[in-house]
Amino acid sequence: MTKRILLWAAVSPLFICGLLPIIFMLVSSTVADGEFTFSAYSELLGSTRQWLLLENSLILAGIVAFSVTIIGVSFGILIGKSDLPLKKWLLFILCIPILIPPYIVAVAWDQLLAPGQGPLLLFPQPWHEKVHRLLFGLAGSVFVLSTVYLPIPLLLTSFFVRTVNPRFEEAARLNAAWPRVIRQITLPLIWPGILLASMLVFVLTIGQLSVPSYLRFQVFSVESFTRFSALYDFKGATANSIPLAVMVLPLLFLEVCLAKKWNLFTSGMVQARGLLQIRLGKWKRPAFILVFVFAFIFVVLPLGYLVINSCQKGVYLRAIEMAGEPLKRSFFYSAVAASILSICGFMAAYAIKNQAICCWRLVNMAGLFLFALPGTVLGIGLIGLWNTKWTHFVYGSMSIVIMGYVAKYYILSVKVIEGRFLQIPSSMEEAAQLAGASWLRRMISVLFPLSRRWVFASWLCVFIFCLRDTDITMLVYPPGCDTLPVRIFTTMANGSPQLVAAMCVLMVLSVVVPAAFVWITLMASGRWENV
Amino acid sequence: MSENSMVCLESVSFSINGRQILKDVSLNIPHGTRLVLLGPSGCGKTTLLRLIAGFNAPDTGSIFINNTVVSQNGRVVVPPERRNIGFVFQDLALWPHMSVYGNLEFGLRVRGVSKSHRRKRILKMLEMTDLAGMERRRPYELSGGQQQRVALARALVTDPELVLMDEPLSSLDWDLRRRIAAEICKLQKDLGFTMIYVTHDKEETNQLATQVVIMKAGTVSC
Repeated sequence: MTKRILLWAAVSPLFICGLLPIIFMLVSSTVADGEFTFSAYSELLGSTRQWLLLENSLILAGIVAFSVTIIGVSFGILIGKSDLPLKKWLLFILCIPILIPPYIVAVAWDQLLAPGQGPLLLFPQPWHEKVHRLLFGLAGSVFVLSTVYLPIPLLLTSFFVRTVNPRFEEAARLNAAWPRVIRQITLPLIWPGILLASMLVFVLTIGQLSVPSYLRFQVFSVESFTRFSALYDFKGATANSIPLAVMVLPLLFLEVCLAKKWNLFTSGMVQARGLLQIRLGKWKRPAFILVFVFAFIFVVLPLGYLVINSCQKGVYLRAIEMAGEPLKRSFFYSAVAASILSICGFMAAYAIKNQAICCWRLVNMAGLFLFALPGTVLGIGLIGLWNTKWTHFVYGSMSIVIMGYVAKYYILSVKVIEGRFLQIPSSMEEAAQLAGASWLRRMISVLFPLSRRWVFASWLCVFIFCLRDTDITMLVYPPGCDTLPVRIFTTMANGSPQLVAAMCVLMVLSVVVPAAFVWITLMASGRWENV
Repeated sequence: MSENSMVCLESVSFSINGRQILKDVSLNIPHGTRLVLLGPSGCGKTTLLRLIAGFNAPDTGSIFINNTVVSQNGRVVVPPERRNIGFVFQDLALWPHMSVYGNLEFGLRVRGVSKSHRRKRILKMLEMTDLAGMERRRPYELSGGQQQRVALARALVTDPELVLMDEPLSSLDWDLRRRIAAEICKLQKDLGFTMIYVTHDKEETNQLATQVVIMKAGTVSC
């Protein structure tokens, strides 16, 4: 009985904070003056502008998903499987853009390519304006979002290549050189994972608000946000959000379809010991230079320029004055959400792994759906549901921000811990059960100690994602309770470039310093292979 | 090293993370031999096979195949794909995304064998291993014994001079093990390849070996 109550209690935040607002939004968009109607949708479908926005969203997401998959998979194989020098540090550098609010990368490139200064001085004057203008629009959005989402296929590929049974590759190595083995054995074995990574990038790009909005590229999510925040058109914004939500569904379908195939291909792989490493030999130096130059141009150069641009007298004092309180709030909100999700994620991961509650599959799918769902959609849903006189204590407090984080990042916590649970043999828990331990005791004395590092990893993962969140927070934060990413975004409209750069640097440091600390600890403890 | 030598190991040592797995191993295996490496778990049998295959290089010492040095003092001189070796792994390592035919075809295609010759060779090999008619099936659709035969056929289809087998029958029941061991013997006699077979089962050793090498704690004795 305790087991069932606790497991249901752990999964209920997903339904209350995530699914309920979406259902409410769906229902309210089809009711007008107490009558059922599709008027908001027919207006949406009848507008040429909406179709154009949808087309823009799809083109942007398609190009970004394609380009990051090609680059991410290539680099993922190099980093995950070869003897590339300094690969752990290169991986860390390449992952920085996903740890920070995406628009910071756009701000960095905007300042870097500003006419008449910086590296553009190396080029003739007439080029300056053209290059800078190129950043604003489709090309710039693709460029920035590709940098931001590259870590997804990169990390997943470097992880997946290490799950392939090395015997499969050894059997092929007896006949063929590495390039062919990668093409015909390794990649076909991990393609479900690559496809999933690509699809995830696609849906995350579709829902991106801050970058297209900053780079003035008109997409569906920006329209939905504008309708809500500038025009106060809740019904229109809701109707606008539904196509974004619908676009997430193929990801769920793919996850369900691929999970079976994935299990088939990976069965027995977990037990396989030893990684078969690609020895680059004479290609070691060129490969290193390629990855290093890429990391330098796409990550170090723009973020480094923010540091250079912000180094002016008094700027940091002013930045700290403006960013101090929001930064404290960012840390506090993120820590609360991460702590709630570590506990819920631990229980939910158990429920999913052991199929311990009837709706375990729904929890998995709903979590993935909410993660991929644009933050604006979730934000509009939360406001619609909780903005009533009876529930103002939620809507008017920080609770609504925490609820948004819990709904959006629930699955991150679950997946990290579930990954560990899959490695723990069921016999561990069964032995404790035979010894007479109750379910709660088994959880506390056996499963938690065995997975405590992963619980901490899930805490950190959620903490970082909450810290960088812009889309949900921007919509739902109560007056005077903004977070640092939101404060920077609003300061950009009238603050000096130097002040914005300094605030961006503070934001980057607040995320990258703890992440680097964990990274160094992992490397020093030799647990890199478990990452 | 004699002229008739297929594989020759000279003072081979190998260690992983500071733990010595093989200590000064020297061994000469003539052409056409069915050599069985017998020894308890963890004595270095599989490591020795992996060094011969070229997946790892010995820290010190040399390995020769057909009187050509293939690995020497921490360096793989000839990569695995150019050693013309067949390998039957303990877990078989049949590629799950390919059919039986695809598993056998891979090595032939890499070697540039024409489509018609590939087909002829694969069908012949499937017939020899009692797998005729199974070519379209996926490995996971076969029984344990059939999978074993596919692994054997895949190792032999490229006509290797040397075949390495790493406890390939350990997961089968006693009766099936005896039958497949007899089939391996027959195939080796028919095709004439040199075979190095790793096991810890004395009965298998008696059935298969023309030469026995006993391994203990990283050293060998004949």
